[in-house]
Amino acid sequence: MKPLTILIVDDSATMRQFVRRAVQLSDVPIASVLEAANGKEALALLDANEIDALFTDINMPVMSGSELLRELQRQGRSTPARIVVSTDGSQARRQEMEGLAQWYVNKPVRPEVVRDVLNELASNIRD
Amino acid sequence: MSQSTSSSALVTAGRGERVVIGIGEFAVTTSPDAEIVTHALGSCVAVCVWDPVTHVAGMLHFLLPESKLNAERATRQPGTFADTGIPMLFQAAYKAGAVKSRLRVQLLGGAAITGGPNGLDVGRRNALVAKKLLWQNGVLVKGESLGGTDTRTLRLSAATGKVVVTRGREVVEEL
Amino acid sequence: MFSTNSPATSVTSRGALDRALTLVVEESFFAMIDPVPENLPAVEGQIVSASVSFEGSFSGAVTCRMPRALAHELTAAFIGEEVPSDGEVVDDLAGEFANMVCGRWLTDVAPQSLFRVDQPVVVSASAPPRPPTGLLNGQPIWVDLKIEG
Repeated sequence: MKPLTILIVDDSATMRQFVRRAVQLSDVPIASVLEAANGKEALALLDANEIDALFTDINMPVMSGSELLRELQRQGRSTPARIVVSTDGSQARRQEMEGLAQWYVNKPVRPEVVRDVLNELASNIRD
Repeated sequence: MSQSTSSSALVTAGRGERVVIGIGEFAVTTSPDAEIVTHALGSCVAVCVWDPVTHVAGMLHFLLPESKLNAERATRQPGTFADTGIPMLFQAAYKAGAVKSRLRVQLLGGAAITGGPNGLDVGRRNALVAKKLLWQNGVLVKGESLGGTDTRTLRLSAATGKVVVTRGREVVEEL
Repeated sequence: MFSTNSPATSVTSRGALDRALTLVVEESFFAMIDPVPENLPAVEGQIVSASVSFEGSFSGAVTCRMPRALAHELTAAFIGEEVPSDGEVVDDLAGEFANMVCGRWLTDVAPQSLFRVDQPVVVSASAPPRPPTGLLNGQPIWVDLKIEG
């Protein structure tokens, strides 16, 4: 399959670095990994690049993950695939994210979970 | 079917050979029909590796997390500790023809054994240190069977990479 | 440390906060929280303090304090690579650590509620004049919860 371009959105530089490393160690071929510190930066990168999958935090300054995902929905984008990575594991948040994201992963997150999500995503693309 | 034990050495097992390892030992086999076995895995952790292309298979059975706890023993039997044993296992696997990016790694053991000489927590510590070392070295874990309170007997198949966990005659898990 | 006027016993229960701390430390940092020995030596060196405020059906803040040297070790464990000991990346990790503990704790005690969680505030501090919550990598860590109202 064609190598994927991944966008990681989180206001924590160390969390972005963690997800980047997990992505690069996963089984799926990766073309490049881009980073954004908030939803607004993410939208600019999404406009300028063809991005296959987006990992996003929820609580971020300037533009939150919820606002980013709602904007992508408003724009009617079918890609990128959307994965929420958040400390908020509440029922309320999960319900809010239904229809906005395809995967919801709770922090603390193991790198193997990032790999498993990418594998599932890749097999969805292949099918 | 012949049996042999290994103590920190590369084993080139014959066809269908079963290699049994004990605490602080590791084995790597290049025979696609071989099995590596370890018994009575309690708070110790077994690290199993397998390359699906070359069928190189390896297993380490370590007792404690850090070699600084006993430098003399670490020199004599580095497989006793996660931080000396795991690198040794991987180096031996690479030397035998395994490729890092293809390796499937499984972690088993780390049970909480009451009355054990190193306390109830050592199993959990062993598991955490193993995961930490693997992450630091850019290796993700394919599967795991960790914790609980029961000992495990493991059989790693070089043909399939599967690990069968038994208790007595009963197969309790397959990874 | 805990308000006596908090909305529910479970919210102020130390157990839930300790569980959140343990989960974060084990899952993301491959470490354990150990009990504090009786004669703990005085803490030397800088302490880094990270606070995360939250607002929802109840409000407050979770604060994590640890020696900067510990925050540095945790950063390397988290990313899986060595990092410089000074600089923003260690502060960033301290903030994310507190963020994860706060988030896990809120999910545990109020799984049906939505909270606004603020960005962590990370500052240098001195060691609190009371025993730490536990030892992490042999170093003290203080994790405190303040509930308002």
